[in-house]
Amino acid sequence: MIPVQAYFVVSAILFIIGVIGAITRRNAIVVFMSIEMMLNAVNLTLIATSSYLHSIDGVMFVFFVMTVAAAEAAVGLAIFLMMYRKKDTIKLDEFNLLKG
Amino acid sequence: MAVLIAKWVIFVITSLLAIVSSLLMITRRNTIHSALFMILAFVASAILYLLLGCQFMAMIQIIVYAGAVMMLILFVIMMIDLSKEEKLKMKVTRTKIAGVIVSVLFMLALILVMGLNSVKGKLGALSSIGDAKTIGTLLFTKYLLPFEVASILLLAAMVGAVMLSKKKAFGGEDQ
Repeated sequence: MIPVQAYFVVSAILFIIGVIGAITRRNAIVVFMSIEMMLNAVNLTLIATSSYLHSIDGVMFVFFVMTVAAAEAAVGLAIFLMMYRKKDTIKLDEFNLLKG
Repeated sequence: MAVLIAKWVIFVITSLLAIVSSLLMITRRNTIHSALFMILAFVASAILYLLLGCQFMAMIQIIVYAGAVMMLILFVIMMIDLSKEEKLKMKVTRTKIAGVIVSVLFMLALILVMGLNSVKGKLGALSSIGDAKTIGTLLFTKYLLPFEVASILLLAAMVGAVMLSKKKAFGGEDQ
């Protein structure tokens, strides 16, 4: 059996790749996809733990995370369309009303 | 023994595929290329779910993530003119460098903590966690309330998305 720690290492790497993408990129859609990648890494951890403890609760958690991610995708992409209509771009530096 | 070696080979290949394609996703300048590499990363993690014996979630991953969500993203990329964004150069600021350094340190800490300790906890009674029957039964008994809340959330998201992307606001004036 593959040790569960191997899955943890993979999902830690995937999570951090998502974090770095969300920090460094300026294209809103790529930032959004990086956030989806972070959710995906957490799902991998939950399923690995669930599989190794023979318990289904982690899998149910992943199910609801996926539901929320789908809802978030629908609303988020509609917001991107609004942003594009307002400023003709989705460059994230243009949206700095909350910048201190 | 042969099965174990095969599992390790599949595991190593799929994890490398997932890591490389997500790295390509955050580095490509063309947004469509990013989205396609993202689909590859999602399919790779679906294979990892299969390896863990969770077939139902692997199918859901491919249908919902690699199918529906990515199709939505590709539609939005198609509707928006991204030529200006694609010409953008990476702007290196001190905040970004600090963020990357901190997140790499966090990754090392995660690998140290999670990779070196063993998972402790009470073992459950289930022999398989992947079949639709177990998940479906639990979804309609123990997890009935979260299930209903999720359905309301999806409805709200649907209404919200329609409201946001309408050309005119509800009152009739331009948004």
